Amino acid sequence: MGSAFVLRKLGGALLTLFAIAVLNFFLFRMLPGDPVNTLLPRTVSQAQKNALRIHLGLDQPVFPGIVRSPQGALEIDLSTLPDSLLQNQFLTSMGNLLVLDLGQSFSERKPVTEVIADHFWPTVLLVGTAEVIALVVGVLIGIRAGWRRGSRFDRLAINGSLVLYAVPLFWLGMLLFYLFATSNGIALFPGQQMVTPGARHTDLVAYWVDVLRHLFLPAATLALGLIAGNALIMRSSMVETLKDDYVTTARAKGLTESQVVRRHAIPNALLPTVTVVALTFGYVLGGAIGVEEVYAWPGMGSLIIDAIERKDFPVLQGVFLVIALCVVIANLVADMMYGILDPRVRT
Amino acid sequence: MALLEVRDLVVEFTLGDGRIARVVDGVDLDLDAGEALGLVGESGCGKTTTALAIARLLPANGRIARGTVRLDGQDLTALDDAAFRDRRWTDISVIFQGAMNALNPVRRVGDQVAEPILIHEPTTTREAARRRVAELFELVGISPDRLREYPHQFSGGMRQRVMIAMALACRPRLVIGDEPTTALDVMVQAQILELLERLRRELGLALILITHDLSVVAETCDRTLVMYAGRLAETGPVERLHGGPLHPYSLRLLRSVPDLSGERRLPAGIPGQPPSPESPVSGCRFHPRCDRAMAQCVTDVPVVRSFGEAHRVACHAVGEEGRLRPPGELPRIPSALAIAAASTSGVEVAVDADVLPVSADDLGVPPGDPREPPADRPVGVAGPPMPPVPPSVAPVRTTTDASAPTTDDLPRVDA
Amino acid sequence: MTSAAAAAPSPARRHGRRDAWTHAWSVIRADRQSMLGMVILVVFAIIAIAGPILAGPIDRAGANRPMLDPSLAHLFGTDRSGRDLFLTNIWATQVSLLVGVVASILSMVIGTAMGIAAGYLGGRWDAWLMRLTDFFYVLPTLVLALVLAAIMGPSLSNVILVIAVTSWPATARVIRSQTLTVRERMFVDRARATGASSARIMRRQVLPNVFGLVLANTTLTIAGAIFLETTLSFLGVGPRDTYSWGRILDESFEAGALTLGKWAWFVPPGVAVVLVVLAFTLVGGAFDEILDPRLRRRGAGPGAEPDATDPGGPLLSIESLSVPESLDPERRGG
Repeated sequence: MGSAFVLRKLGGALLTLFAIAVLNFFLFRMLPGDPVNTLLPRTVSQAQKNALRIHLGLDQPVFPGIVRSPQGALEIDLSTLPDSLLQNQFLTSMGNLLVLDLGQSFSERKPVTEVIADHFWPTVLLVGTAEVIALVVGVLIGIRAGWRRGSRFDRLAINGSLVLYAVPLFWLGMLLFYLFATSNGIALFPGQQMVTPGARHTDLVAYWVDVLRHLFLPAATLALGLIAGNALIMRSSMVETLKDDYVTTARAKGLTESQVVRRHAIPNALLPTVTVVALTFGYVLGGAIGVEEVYAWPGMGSLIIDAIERKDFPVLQGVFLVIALCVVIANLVADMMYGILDPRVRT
Repeated sequence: MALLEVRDLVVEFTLGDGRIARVVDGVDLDLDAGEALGLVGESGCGKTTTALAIARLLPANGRIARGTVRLDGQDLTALDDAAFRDRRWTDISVIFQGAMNALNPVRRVGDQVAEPILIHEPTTTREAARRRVAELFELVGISPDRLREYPHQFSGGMRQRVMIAMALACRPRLVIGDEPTTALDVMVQAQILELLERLRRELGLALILITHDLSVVAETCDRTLVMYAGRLAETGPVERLHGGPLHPYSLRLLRSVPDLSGERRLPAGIPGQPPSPESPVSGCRFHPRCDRAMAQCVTDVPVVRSFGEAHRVACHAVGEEGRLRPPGELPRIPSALAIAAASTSGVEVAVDADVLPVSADDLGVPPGDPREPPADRPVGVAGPPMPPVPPSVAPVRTTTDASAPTTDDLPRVDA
Repeated sequence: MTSAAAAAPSPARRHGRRDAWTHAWSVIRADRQSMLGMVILVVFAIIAIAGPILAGPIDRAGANRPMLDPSLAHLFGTDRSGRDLFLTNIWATQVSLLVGVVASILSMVIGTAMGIAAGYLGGRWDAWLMRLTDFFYVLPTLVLALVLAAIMGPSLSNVILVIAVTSWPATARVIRSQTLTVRERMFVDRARATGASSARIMRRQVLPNVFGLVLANTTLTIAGAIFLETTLSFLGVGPRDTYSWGRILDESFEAGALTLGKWAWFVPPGVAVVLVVLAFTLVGGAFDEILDPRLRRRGAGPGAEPDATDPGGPLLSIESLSVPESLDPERRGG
């Protein structure tokens, strides 16, 4: 893989990250009223408010030459120049970001970074498990459906995927919960949370068994939703690849049908699938929010919902940044994977 | 005995709406060991389909509906898939058109060339296979250092050389080249053809070269087979066919080759397009575009007749003496009839105004009582009332009659 | 030389607008799946339009008895405040479809304007507009919509706005590539030569030519919009001033319908979402076929080539599958 390729992709990712930070800055300045009032609980003292105001640079102009009037509207005020070129809210907030200062959560009374760190790994566990299952199963279904195009299996795969694709993930989660975690169906699995509340695990094995039992339903929900998309992508990729000339060449050389598919069709069909799977990573994270909510999974999805309910805007802002960062990294990984898998990019 | 004997090959495709299109219709073809045959025709004439049928590489909706393909006397169409798979590449290999797409973009060229060796000779070690690929690369003029490169790192001509090396990997006796030089520029084309010619002589390969370029055939091949709309038009030794073509289609094809040595003139071209196999033309399929078309050409399929040493032609306008009669000597049909006949079969017709002036003198068929005037009479054709279209104009299924005198000089093998 | 019957120009080009509609209808009718989609949509449209009129307002409905099980009097039972859930679902049909349609129209306007401007103006305009599009394309739609909705506050119009603002990039990309091909055609140049302004050409020449694609995309966008509204409402940032399917699901979940076994509370709205989204996807698949004959299946069985739509996310079009496209950094976004 050429270093120019890597550098270009890295540069693009950094640019996107910067744009996300800018968007984030403006988004949360769209909030009506004094930001300090929305960023802090109502109970804090005036002194605390002033401290935060200075920390966030809210006493400064929003942008060079642009100030917020007492009524909350943005106005152009050139008298603040040239000082506002360096001292403005925008630069201050970017600076805070650079030192990973995302502010203080006021519902949990600790730094936002710590709150996010608490909820980060459960989401990684859930999304990672679901994505791996969905990739393997979806790709296998797609390969078979695309190979045996028009067969009963293919029709079943397509129609099943289309239906599954129309199912909201949180609702699928509710159905599975109802059927497999309550006495209305067969209560095979524990319903909510990541570990049984109040349980004292004697050793690590017992702890993980408990976690896995809790993980099963939410991961299955998320995986089911993703399998549909992956299968459809892999299938159409297979169908396209099987039309390619080198597949005919492979047949002409005397390879058996399964050798043709394994050695020539699948490696090529996987290439676009890898990209699309990584591109849909944002969708996966979005889907995880609903699933986490249903199963009270203590991940970032639940955190977002809690933050919205409690109007904990520093946390909301932080989670938005982290999720956007994850998506950008997923895209970057896809590009790199493509570079590794496809010699046309690599060499 | 000929190495390859194709008899009465009929290939049909099932179209999306369930209709059947006959793309190759009763083609006979013979090839001796070490001989090179040029398969010529415009695109859509069934030449590639014929080759794919021989190599059993037809797409899923295509099938050999009738006929035999014999290699060394053994009917390949009778073999089951597994048995035929063992013969692939060891007996028949193919050089595909456009090696960019025919090579797998994500696998090293060396591995792709070695792949058939490892498959057909399971006892070969990887190292031995690699050595053989290196030899093959040298044979076709590529440095063996490039074994580990990928197809996109090669130029068009070099990729075609890789393709040729791959085709020779299992020492086949028959190589089919499907327009192997089409996508290349003229200089590279010449190099590749030269290479093919040299390898053929050195290795004693039989070659079927598919092309729409008759000059390529003249340089490379021993015999020419001209196809039109899925049927054989004319076949014969290169010198005879190119020196004195008998079929008007061959004549027009030869005229459309720019003659670099002779006087400068624009290639004549052939107006119109070949009929689509979905809506076949009655009689001789070339008649809507032929300047020698007679009433007979609209109604009767011309049988294949032999004139001298392996020179066979299917044309009504060729006299018993083996001479293509010029338009002046023939009873002519009006272009109007040709148009009417063609329009009933849904074919686009282009009338060469210079050759087919629409006038009463041209009426080969006397204007009679129009019993069934063509429903969709084309507008804009001035002249006398349209003669009736003979009832037999409706598409007729005909094949070369087994008892026809034309095939007497060939060993007739019935399926 | 005269050609008696010149090669007919490709039929699609020569079609008038009406022919195009007839053709579209014939494709839909010939395809079992899209016909099924049409039937489902018609049924839901009737429920959405006539249902609330026939059923009357929700508040007066019901026996004011909470948490009833399904019965003849209350087909889906009642909720915590004694609302008849059958009536609520009928009203929700109207709201959900309304949000889907209005948000999609807004989103199509934004996306089409962006796409046409980028494709037609080209150069620097194209580069910047596409960079913006790709940026929004990369951002996770649902997360962005959640944050926006949380900031703007829950109301019907805000939710519509949020959905429109977050779901236009896919349309912009599709319309841009179509505009590029339209621009290449001669008549645009001819119109420019007569001194028409760019804005006028885009409106009068380009827009009519990409309109078919806009319509086809709308069906897929509506599906995505309904999906997104349902999820937003379930997560608590949907419209609070009225009932949608998502809000019913949210309330059923909050009320513990899952553990209480009140299946009639959460199953019907979910089924409705699935049916409508599926129907729009099926019809959208037929539109793809109408617009792109290359997708036409060749007698290889009734399985359609579905264009996988990503509800609330990027449109997984065939476009993004082709290898060179995805290698194009311009398309992928940095």
